[in-house]
Amino acid sequence: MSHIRIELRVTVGTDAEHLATLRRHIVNAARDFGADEDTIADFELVVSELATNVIRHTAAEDLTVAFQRSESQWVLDVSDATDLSTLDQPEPDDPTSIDGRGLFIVQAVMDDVQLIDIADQRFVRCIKLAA
Amino acid sequence: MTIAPARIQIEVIATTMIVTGEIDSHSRDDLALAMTPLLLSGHLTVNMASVYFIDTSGLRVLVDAHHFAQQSGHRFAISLPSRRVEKILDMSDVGHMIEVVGRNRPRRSTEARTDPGGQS
Repeated sequence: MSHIRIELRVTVGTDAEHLATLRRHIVNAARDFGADEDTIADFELVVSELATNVIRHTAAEDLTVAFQRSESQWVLDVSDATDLSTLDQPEPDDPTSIDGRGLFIVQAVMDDVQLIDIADQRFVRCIKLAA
Repeated sequence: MTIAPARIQIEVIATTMIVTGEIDSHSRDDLALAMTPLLLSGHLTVNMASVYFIDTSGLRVLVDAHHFAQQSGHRFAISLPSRRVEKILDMSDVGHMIEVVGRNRPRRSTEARTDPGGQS
């Protein structure tokens, strides 16, 4: 698969009713890109968690998800991560609380999660190494 | 873009609630609303064998139900969690907090989900 780079880009409004559509796009793309079922499930969960955070914690009117596969890795970018500063917190302090566990789970199923700036917009970038 | 709302179906048989579909921040309120009268009246078991997607928004509903039941002296349990539910319960450690009855079969890496409403 050398030099192959395939990409999906989707923009939806920041309303929770769009989450299922967003997940469906990622699932279908991951399957088309050759992902196994575990990888598909991980990206489906990750995009739902990150998009939910954007919807709940930012004032953005829409969010963009870019998903790409290269020879060595999968990359999922979710826009407007400005307020997702808790990425540095690996685990919530209160074991009975669910707050913060979304990002903890994202970090657990991805190989790398980072905040990046592209054209004056902040994205959370999730990287999973290709098998 | 075609909108595909998260779908959730709820059936109640005595003290068991059978949930089918996807539980996210869009559908979680429907689940919470359906649980409330049952939690107020007594024990509740939620059959999650046909939940083919859940994120931490859905998990929060289960944790809240667990806490409410504890405070009310009632029993709250999840039964037959699907693989997706099991995974997030384990990853979040919530599986140690909430009673889980009838864990599903061992994980298989080649297993695909059954998604009757999916486009794939």
